Amino acid sequence: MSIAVAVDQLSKHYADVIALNNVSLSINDQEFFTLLGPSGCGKTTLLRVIAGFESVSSGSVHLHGKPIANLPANKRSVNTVFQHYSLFPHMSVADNIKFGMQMKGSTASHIESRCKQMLELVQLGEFANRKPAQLSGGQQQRVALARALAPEPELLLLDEPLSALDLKLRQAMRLELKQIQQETGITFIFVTHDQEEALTMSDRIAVMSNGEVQQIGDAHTIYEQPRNRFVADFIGEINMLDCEVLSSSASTDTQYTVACDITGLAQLTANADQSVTPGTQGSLCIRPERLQLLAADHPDAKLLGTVDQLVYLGTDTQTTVVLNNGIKLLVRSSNNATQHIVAQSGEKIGIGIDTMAARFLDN
Amino acid sequence: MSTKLNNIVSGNATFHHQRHKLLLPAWLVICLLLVVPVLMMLVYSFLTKEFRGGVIWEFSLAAYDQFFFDRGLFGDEPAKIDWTYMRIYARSALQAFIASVLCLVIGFPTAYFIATRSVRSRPVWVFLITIPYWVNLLIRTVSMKFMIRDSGPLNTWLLQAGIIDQPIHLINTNIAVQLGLFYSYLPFMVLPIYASIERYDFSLSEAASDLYASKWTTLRRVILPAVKPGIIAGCILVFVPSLGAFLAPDLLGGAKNFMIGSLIEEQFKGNAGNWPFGAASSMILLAIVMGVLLLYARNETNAAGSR
Amino acid sequence: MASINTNIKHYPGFLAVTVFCLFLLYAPLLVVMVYSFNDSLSIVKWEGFSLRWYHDVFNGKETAKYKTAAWNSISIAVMAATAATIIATLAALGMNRSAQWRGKSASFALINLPLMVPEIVTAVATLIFFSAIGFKTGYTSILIAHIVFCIPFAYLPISARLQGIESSYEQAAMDLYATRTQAFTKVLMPLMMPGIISGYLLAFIISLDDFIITNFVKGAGIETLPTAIFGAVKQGIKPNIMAISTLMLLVSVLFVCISYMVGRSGSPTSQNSE
Repeated sequence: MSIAVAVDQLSKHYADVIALNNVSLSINDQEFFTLLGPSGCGKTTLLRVIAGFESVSSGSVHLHGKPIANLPANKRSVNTVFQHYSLFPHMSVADNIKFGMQMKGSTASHIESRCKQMLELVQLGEFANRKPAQLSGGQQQRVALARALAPEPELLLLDEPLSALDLKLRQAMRLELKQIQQETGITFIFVTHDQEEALTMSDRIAVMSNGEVQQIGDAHTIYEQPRNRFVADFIGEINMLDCEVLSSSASTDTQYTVACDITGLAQLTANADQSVTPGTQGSLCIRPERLQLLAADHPDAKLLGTVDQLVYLGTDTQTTVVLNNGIKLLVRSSNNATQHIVAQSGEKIGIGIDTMAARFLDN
Repeated sequence: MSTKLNNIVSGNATFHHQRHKLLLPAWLVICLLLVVPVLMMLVYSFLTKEFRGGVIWEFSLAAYDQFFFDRGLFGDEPAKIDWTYMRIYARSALQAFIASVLCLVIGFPTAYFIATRSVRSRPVWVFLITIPYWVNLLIRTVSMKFMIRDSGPLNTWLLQAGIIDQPIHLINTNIAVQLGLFYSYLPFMVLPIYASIERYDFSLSEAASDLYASKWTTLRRVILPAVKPGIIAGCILVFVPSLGAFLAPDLLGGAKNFMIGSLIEEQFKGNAGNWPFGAASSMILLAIVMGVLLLYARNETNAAGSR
Repeated sequence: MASINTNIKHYPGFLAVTVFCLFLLYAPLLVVMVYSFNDSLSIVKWEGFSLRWYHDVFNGKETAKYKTAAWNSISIAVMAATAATIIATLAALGMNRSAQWRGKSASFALINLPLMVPEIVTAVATLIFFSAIGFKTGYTSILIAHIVFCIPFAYLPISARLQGIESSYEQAAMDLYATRTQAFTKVLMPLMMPGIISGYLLAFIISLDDFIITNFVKGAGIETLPTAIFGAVKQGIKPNIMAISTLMLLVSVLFVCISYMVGRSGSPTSQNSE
């Protein structure tokens, strides 16, 4: 698989603000790649650097092997779907779609046929002569996509394109975007702060924070094997228990098993990406759905506590358990489970942990 | 911090390099044809007058001396403070102040009424208020003069309606000037207040009412403080042009109701004028106006800082 | 049935004041318009409808004088508005499409300076300026003075329009392979157009209406419509003045209406309101 975009040691400073700090990543051809992070993490800046709207302070960007960092936006075979679409309000839908091809100097017949093709792709054939203001948000979104795809870019950038849509439409557009990406075979870089969006659409995700890439991986890896506390905390919900490492040993070539002591409570095993020196302080991280509520005297109960609060969430019930050292733990149990225990507030309860579900992360 | 970043991002160098050079023509034209002339006017106010209009290039404080002091007919008596010109300025300020108050009294309810119309009909009301502003000020002043003549439509109506049995004499009185100023600058009061009230969050009124305030208490304690910036802006927009107005006092007030505008104009008319004195009078007017504007600007910054 | 209006926004009497306010603004203008159709030599009495004063304006003994004045007014307004609009458009681009730089707020103040300095002061300063540099007052001096005070009037609507146009439109254009020039001519310029037209029309009216500054810098032997009317009014209001006034009034209203329509057409931000 060839590499579409290679970002190498890229930094971007604004006066005294560091927006990107030594970012390196490579994106494969035909990949749906997502930049995920909270606002101000640098994901949009990175996108705008690749698009050509921002100059770089240092580092390089290559598109299919050609350096592009110093190329103006109109010389890059990269198109953007803007956050608020930025459809030209004085042009019809068709003219918006044709614009890029006209600027590129394509032949008139090609422009016509390609425009028709794009309108079909986004199912807006009958709206060709409307002005953008006469379309709904979802339709504008599709026009923006068609406009950006029409000139057949090597790379498509999407800057939080779904954020302006309501929930139902957003969910439908996710599937549609993914489908269009697979049909066209164009590399997509998608920027979002919405983890659900990232997890459902992406081939790979780069989690960013403070202008740095925290972790790159597919949805499963990011969720199940977060590399650090930021990633663990940002994606989904997680319990973190302070602990001290007792011993560690290799379980596979890349995975290690760590025995941890949760001060005054229990000794548990967790997995880790590398060998850890005994005595290291860190956190034992467990997803709430990897915990089970058990009877207090159940042999599998690894931790003991008191039920504090129950929240019914439809598919799941979320239980807050106060451990004996006062720490609160979230437990999420599926409501269709047959072994499902109905706990009562104030009840003493045991907690079971899935094998190898806990992960050790150092502080 | 984040707004700072946004500012930097929105004005990023790739797209906006050197764009501020586009300001050069505006800079040049306004500096050369307004700033330089005002500075020249300052210089002229310290020169000696030429009797047929114009100046002699000799430094003199005579213009300012004439403005503030009386040295007798031949200029050899001890200086006494001369109130003649300062009284004209004070009267102008008073007239401008009354015009502002009148405009506020009529303008606030109007602005409030417009701002509480439906979003669709608001622009139409605003448009109705703006049209008279765009009609030539001279024509409006002439219309007013025509209207309030002793035998004009106003008196005719009032006589016919039996409200008065003798025409009211308005032309060439202070009241006529007042009416002219009020009429000239009323739209200036309505528009900024309207803009403020349009931004006002009416749930604050609901909150006040919920907490047992009457409508008029709500107006006084909640709405007025919230729209104060608009009211101040409106008052300045009426006060400043009224202070230097020329047409209303000249056409409606006649010779007895001299205001600053007429005083200055007279210094440059024909051969009887006194250019240095006119320049000095203009400088004093400009200083007063700039002082008012500076006060306003400082007030604005303070308000923005404490928000 | 009379009931207390429970609408929290409603204040009794405000409607009456608004109507009174509009009456005050319009009554004198309407009276002049009506009396311009008066078939009488005197302005005191109404003697029936007639177009005689309009006929007099176009074919009377003062026609030549007013025709020249009107021509001066209109030609000066066209040129002053054109120059001011070009300068103001460039300035608006410079102010709204440039990075934060020192002197930006000073530039803003400078552009709006003609609005802050009282007209009579501007008039005096300009007269002194022309006299000091030995520039002969007349048509050209009026034109130059008009350009200066028209700049902020042209600037405000253009700048307001430009502020409503996100810079992402130009970025989108360049993203779609447009050069900087193409992004300007094909995207920014058409989007700015309503603002530019509004600015031009307002500058035109402001120039057409100006009396004080023109009166100071015109010199002898040249009149614009306002100075000609002022001169005539000093001798007393005659019916033909009312006819001319009505015509000018209609021109102003027409221009403001056009400007208003243009300004309301297709706001660029409307499509983002989801």
